[in-house]
Parts: sequence; structure tokens; C-alpha cells
Amino acid sequence: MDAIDRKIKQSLKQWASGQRPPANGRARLMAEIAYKNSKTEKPPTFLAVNIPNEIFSWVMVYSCEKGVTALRLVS
Amino acid sequence: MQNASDRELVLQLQAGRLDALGILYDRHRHMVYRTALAIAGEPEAAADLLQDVFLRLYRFAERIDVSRPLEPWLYRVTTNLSYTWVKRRRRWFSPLEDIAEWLASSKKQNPPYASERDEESQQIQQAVSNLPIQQRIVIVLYYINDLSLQEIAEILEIPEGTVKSRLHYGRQALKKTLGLQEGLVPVIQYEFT
Repeated sequence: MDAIDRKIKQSLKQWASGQRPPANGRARLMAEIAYKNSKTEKPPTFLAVNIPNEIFSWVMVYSCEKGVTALRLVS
Repeated sequence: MQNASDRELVLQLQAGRLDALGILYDRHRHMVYRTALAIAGEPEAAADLLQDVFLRLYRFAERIDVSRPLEPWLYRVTTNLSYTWVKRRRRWFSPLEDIAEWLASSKKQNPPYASERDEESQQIQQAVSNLPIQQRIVIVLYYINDLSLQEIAEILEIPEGTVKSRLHYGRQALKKTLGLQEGLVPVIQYEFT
């Protein structure tokens, strides 16, 4: 390690020692984890793109129920 | 719990103890932040990268091998995330805008009474931020974090020869910059009679 090498090291280290991470970093981290956890536990929301699927499943359930009732009536 | 080793804290984190993550954060935040800042060159980005590193530690705690030290894992994640950040940013900003922004942020940070030595440190840091990203990472890990060539090679998962080469070219570029700065300083010549 020559003189310029030592100078680079000393100057970079001096610069780095003056840099401080944000004071609220830990609180921010914990808040973000809490938010992510609450997001994953949240029940699925109703989306407009699901409407055809919803209608289809409702028709299926309804027709099955009616079919069962019809069968009961027949028997 | 404050005196627990990194290994013990990672084990507790794997068991779902969030306070263990808080202690690991307090213990390693300076190292992670300074590394990210030296590579990315922006305090706001470094703060976000610091956050991301510890979010990953929480998310992937299960996958961490507790038989190995945690610091190399933290260095690897920090350098990878910083590298990705710099690459993405380069797509949007030209190098000249980058330098101008770095100069502006450096000026914002400097108190008006900053010493000449501080200015010199800033100049060298600026020279580091102008290096190609792969050389910059090696320079930061070697000079700021005091890591050996072998440790850097393991963290970056590259051959030791590549580390040596990147360090050599990075060092040459820095020396050139310093040489130019030294050239500006008047040399006093003594005459012996």
C-alpha cells in the first residue's frame, strides 16, 4: 500500500464515518413489516374483473339447488 | 438479547421474533447504509436500500445458513441491490445529470464550516462515484469496509483475479484524479547554496 493508497483509504473512511443512516430507520422498517403482514392477512377484495366468474358460480349454485329441489319434488 | 450473537438473533428471527430483527438492524445499519451510499451516491437511495436489505433479511430469514457469518450475506444483498438501483437509474439519467445531482446533494450535506480535509474526502468520494459501477463496488468494499480480496471475491461470487483487476483499474482512476488535484498545489522548491 503506497502513500496515495493510504490517502484514498483515509479519505474514504473519513467521509464514510460522517454518514449517518436515518434516525427513524428502525421504526420505518417495523412499520413496513407490520403493513406487509396486515396486507397478507386481509380478506380478498371484490374486483370488477371477477364479475363474470361470480355470475357463473352463482348460476351453477342456483341451478344445482333448483335441480336438487326439482329432484325432491319428483321423488 | 442485546448481547446475543448474530447467529442467535437469526435463529430467533427464524422463530418469528421481530425484536431480533430490530437488534440486527441497530448492529449493522451503519455498515449497510455507508456501503449503499458509497455505491449509489444518494442519501435518499441509501436509506431506501438500507430498508430493503433488512426487509429481505426478514423475508428470507428461513433461508439463511446460520452456520455461516451474517455479514457477508448483508454485504452481498447490499451490493446487489445497490448495483440494480444504479443500473436502473442510469437508464433514466445521463451521467452529466448524475454528477450535477451528486454535487448538489454533497453541497447540501456540507456545513458552511466544513474543513479542507472534509472537502478532500468529498472530492475523493466524488471520484469514486464516477467510477464504473463494478470497480466502484470493489473499491468501496476494499477501502471503506476493509475486506480482503478473497472476502470480496466470495461476496461478489467472482474470481479473485477479477477482484484484483477491478481494484487495479479503480485505483488507477482514483490516483489519476488525485494526481490532477495534487498538480494544482504549488510545489515549494528549495535552493541549497
